[in-house]
Amino acid sequence: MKKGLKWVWLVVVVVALAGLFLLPGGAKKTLNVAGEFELTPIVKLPAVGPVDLSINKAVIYLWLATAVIVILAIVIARNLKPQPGRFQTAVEGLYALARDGIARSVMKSGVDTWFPYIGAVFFFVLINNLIGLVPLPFGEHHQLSFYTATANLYVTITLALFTFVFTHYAGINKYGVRKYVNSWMPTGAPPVLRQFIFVIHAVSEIFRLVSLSVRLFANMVAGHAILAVFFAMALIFQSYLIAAALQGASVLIYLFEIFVAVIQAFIFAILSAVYIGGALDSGH
Amino acid sequence: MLNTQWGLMVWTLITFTIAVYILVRFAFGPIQRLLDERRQTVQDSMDVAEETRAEAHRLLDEYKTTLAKVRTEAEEILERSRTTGEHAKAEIMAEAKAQSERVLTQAHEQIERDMRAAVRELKGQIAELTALATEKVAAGSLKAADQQRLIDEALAELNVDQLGMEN
Amino acid sequence: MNPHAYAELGAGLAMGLGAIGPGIGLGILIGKALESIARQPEVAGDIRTNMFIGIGVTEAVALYAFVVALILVFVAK
Repeated sequence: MKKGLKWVWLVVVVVALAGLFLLPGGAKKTLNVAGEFELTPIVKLPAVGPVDLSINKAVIYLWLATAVIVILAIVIARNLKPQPGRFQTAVEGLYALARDGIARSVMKSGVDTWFPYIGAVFFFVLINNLIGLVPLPFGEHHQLSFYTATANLYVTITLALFTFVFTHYAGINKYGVRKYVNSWMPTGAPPVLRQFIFVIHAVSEIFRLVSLSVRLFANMVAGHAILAVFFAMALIFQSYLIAAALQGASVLIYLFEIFVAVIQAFIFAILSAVYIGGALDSGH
Repeated sequence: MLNTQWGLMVWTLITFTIAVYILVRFAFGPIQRLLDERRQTVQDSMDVAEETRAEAHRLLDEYKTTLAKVRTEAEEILERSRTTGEHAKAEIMAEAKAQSERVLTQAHEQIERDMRAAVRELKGQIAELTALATEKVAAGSLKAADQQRLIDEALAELNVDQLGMEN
Repeated sequence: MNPHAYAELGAGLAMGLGAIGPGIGLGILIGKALESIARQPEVAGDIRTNMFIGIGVTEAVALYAFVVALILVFVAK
């Protein structure tokens, strides 16, 4: 048994126990996967027009992720030393991954300007995804359950909108409106074809927004739904024996979901970098 | 599940903005500064090392040149002393030779002188003896002038030089 | 069958059929990426980055099917 793999077994035991006794259904004793993603206001606030700022599960998870980020950032900032210890080396490694692995590897220019956004979106999504894999008492009946803010389309669409806006802001800021819009069309083509390609490009821009947000949202929903189904095996088969046997599978799914959480944050950030970098390089 | 939730979007906007601000202010900035500082430190120490190396090279070259110069000089001195020594030797030898020749010459002269003196004395004695003998043989038959003439003739016949050499 | 049953059937079909293409695509994509890494290990980092971008784009197709299935089950009742 290698020393480095000890924590995996810790995770296995915790998840198996949580799956067996805590998660499925709680007091209700029924399987309601869709209910895991329903948002009911916990603290009701008056709505302003269509904007209902009531605090629900997703908002709590957002605040939790932000709190984790704030605490981590301040702890890191307080403890920065010129000679790094083990923790600081890990932090610097993550920073280097975000800066060199994500931003610098796909952007030809503008890394220094746009890295703060790309790095922040990477860590925000990453922390949100990972918090989704910690059992927290926000189930239907306050039982422990898995949820994540990024399993909500409107959270991911807001994040994707940031990338969308920044992409076109970066392009317009660098080349001006005329030149930037002209870069969407091939030069020297007949006007009808140019307009046609312009429309196609505009649609593809919208689809980037959709695909960026839906990818993250659907990954998180699918992962959590699969986790919920596997943890609810006891309810489906009405047999603790089968349920106990299937806990192994749910643990594997759980480990895979950790991988997916990291990969999705990585892909969200790297695609943001690709889009912004593409807009910055569109003028030639 | 899929109906528009504007409130959640606003919350996302707020929390994400806070996260960006905090991350940039407290994490990215300081970490980047730290990494830059470390790179600067490494660069500086590398520069210093490079400088030191160059300095060492320079000193080494200098020492090498100096050493070469010193060696040439030493050789020169050695050469010079060797030449001087040879000169001196030659001089001394020449002087010794001259002196020995001088001594030899003096000795020769002395011998010559002595020999001359001896020959002169011998001549005188021979003349006297001859005169004596002749006087005894022809006493009174000869006049004083004839006597002298006979002596001189006899002396001329006598090869004195040969006599001296044979001695 | 009631209309909701058709929707649920459609959702299952959408997810299952929609996963075929991306599944094949991901297999080709990752296989080619590994081939390239085996051929040129010195640019493994770049290939891996681009592979993840490709995975993200390809996988999105399956996820559209997933979203369509969700809409069929929970919205188009």
